Formats: sequence, structure tokens, C-alpha cells
Amino acid sequence: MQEVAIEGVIFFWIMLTGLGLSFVFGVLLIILHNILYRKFDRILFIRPYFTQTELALYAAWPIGLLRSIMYMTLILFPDHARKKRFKELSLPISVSRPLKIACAFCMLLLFLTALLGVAFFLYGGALYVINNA
Amino acid sequence: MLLGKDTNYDTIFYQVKSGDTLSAIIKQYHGNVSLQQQKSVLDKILADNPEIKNPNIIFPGQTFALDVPQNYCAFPGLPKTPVILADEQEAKVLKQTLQKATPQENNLFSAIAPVMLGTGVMSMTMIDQTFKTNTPLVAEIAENYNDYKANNITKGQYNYRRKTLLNRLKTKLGPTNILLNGTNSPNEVLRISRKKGSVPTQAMTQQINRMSRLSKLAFRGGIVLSVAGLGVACNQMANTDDNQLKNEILIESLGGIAGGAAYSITATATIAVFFVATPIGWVAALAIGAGSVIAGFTGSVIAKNVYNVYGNKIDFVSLAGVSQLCKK
Repeated sequence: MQEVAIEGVIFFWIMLTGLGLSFVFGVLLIILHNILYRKFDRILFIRPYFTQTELALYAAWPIGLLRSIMYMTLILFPDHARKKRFKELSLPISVSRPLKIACAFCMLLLFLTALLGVAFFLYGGALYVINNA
Repeated sequence: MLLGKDTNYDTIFYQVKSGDTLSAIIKQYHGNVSLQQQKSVLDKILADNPEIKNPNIIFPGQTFALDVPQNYCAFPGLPKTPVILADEQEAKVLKQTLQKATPQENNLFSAIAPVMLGTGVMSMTMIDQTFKTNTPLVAEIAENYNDYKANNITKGQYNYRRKTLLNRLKTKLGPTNILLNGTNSPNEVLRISRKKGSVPTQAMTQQINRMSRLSKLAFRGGIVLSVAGLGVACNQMANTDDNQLKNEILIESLGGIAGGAAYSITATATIAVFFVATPIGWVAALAIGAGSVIAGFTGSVIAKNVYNVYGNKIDFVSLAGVSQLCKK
């Protein structure tokens, strides 16, 4: 491990952390999807919140996982979600505290991994350009 | 006879390494077999590969077809390395091509195999996305007919909507329609059935079922090709003694996975924020497939470059224990 350039350490930290987090995110998303679709599909996966096309689209695996992300947005950011998709939703959405924490953790992982993904390409790309200039 | 039943054997293409002998290769894949069985396997190799004139003379880089037991991985002490298998037809064509090829051309084949796999993943993603997202359009064509029969819309409205939906479907399917309907256009296939005793919208139901089936096949095909890509990397690592090269292959593969994952997770995060969701046409599907493959390829190129310049003192292969997993 000696004489390793700091640029390499940073790059591989970004790459391997991103890979690790994306794996954890994938597993957690599948677990939460199995809880959320049972709880919310009956009241939320209907018109007018989803169009006919979306209802068919999001019913299939693996693209159906996206609807769980939308439910998570509703749980965590109700004002934003009601403004964007679940307009005129009168039913109160209440979930247990552990589920809310799990959703928050999953959402945090999603954005953190996406951020690391962007950093992977930007930082790695910059190093590549410098090396080959 | 040892190789009497072809169904119990897979055909692989083995590339001869320095120091290899045919008897050692047979032992590697068939285990400790009797002399008679070993002779039987050797005779089969010579029959399948007429370019091998003398079993005692094989050259490094030479590729030949080899029948291996389907359960060879279960034998203790035998290679755990995944191999690319070929079915009978593929084997025939590959064998003919490889027999005519020079050692340099054989090496080139090994080099371009990951690119071929990447292109395959892209095509599979495109088919999967196009069919999956346009199935609702076919359902809408059937719904339109049902609305007309229920007197909810006039004949003029029905004809106009049907024409619009069919045109949209035709545009969205693009060249993937050939897979679905051959040379027939969607309006030729999606006709209302006038046959007695049949459901008028049965053509739409059949089309939806076909799209779902093809989409599932393409999704699985994409996964198989991705795993095959990893198998190629593992095989390459197993076939080199150069630790630096092993690390390069590992980092290249991990970079590819990281690039693809970064692409799909960023897309998911964007959808989560903006709630974008519209049916995807073949151009967009191709862009998604190509984007995923390009991101994977770019990731692998960047990772390999950064490793060679900044990180070649780190022995990832030993740290991750990959050398134990991908070994001869």
C-alpha cells in the first residue's frame, strides 16, 4: 500500500464505496418495495395519481421498483410529492417510525450513490484527461 | 463410451497456454480418468479438430473445441473458472472460423469478445425497454374498440383514435417491430377479429403476451450477457500469471460495473425527483441501452488508466481474494 498516489486512493475510494453503497441500496430497495407496495398500492397505485400507461409500466419488474421510490418521496417529502404527483390526496399517510427511518436511509443511499457516480465520472474523467494530455 | 452421449457434455473452446499438453488438459476437465477413457477423449478431440495432426504437438495460442462434462465444476480440484459455452450450431461456426484463423486472429477474438458482449447487452436493453413500455399502447387499441362497442364513442372517433394509436405504436417500435411481427406492420397484425366464436380483440391480447414474453427474454438475455462478461474477465485472470495484469483486468471489470451502476442510479434519482415517466420509443430505448453500455465502457477505461498511473501499488486481487475465486 506504500507509495500509492493520493489521486488513486481518492478515485478507488469513490469507485469502491459507490459500488458497495449501490449494492446495499439495491437490497434495501427490494426489501422496502415488498413492504410499501403491499401497504400503498391499493390507495395510491390508481388513477388519477398514475396514468393508464404508468399503471401498466410500473406494474412490471424491475421498473416497478420506481413506484416504491415515489411512495418514499410521499412519506419523506409529502408537500413536494403532493404537488408533483399525488395531487388532491386527502388520505393522511402515516407510517411507523422504523419504516420512515428505513425510507430515509434508502433515499439517502440513493442520492449519495448518485453523487458518487457523478464524482466517479467527473474525477476519473479529469484524471484520465490529465494523464493523456 | 465416455463421450457417447452428447447431451451430458458441453463444448468449450480452449486456448492452449505455454506448457499445456493434451493429456494435462483432459485431466484438468475430466479428472483422473482411466487410460482407456483418456484415449477415448483424445480420439474425440482429434476427430473434432482435424487441424491437430499430432496429439503431442500443440502450440500456445492455438484454440480447439473440447467436450467437457456438464458437471465438471463439481469435481474437486478442477477449475472453477466460468467458461463460455457454445451450442451445437454456434460451436460449428466458431470452430470453422477458429480453424482458419491465425494465432494473431485468435488473440483478436479474445480481445473483442467483451465488446461483442457489450453490444449484445445494449440490444437486449433496447428490446426490453421498447416492448415493456409500449405494451399499454396495444392495450389502448383494444380499449378503444371496447369503448366503441359500448357506444361511448362514435365510429369517426374510433377510427381516428385507432389510426393515431397505431401510428404512435409503429413509430415507437421502429425496427424492433421486425422481431415482433416480422415484415408485417402493426396495423396489419392488430386487426379486429370477425371470426365466429373468437374474441374481437384477441390479436391485441396475443400481441401483448408476445411483447411481455420477448421483453422478459431480453431482460434475462441482458443479465446472462453481463454475467458472461464477468466470466470472460475471471477466465482471463485465471489464465495469466502476471499479477499486474490480473489487477488491471479486475479494476477494468469493476470500473465497468461502477460506470453502469452510476448511470442507472443517477437515472433513478432523476426520476424520483422529477417523476418523469413516458412510454419509451426505440430511439430512447437505444439511447438508454447505449448509455448504459457506454457508461460501463467509459468507467472501465477510466478505472484502468487511473490504476496504471496512480494505483498500481495496490494489489486489489489479493486484497479481495479474487485470485482464489478465479483460478485454474
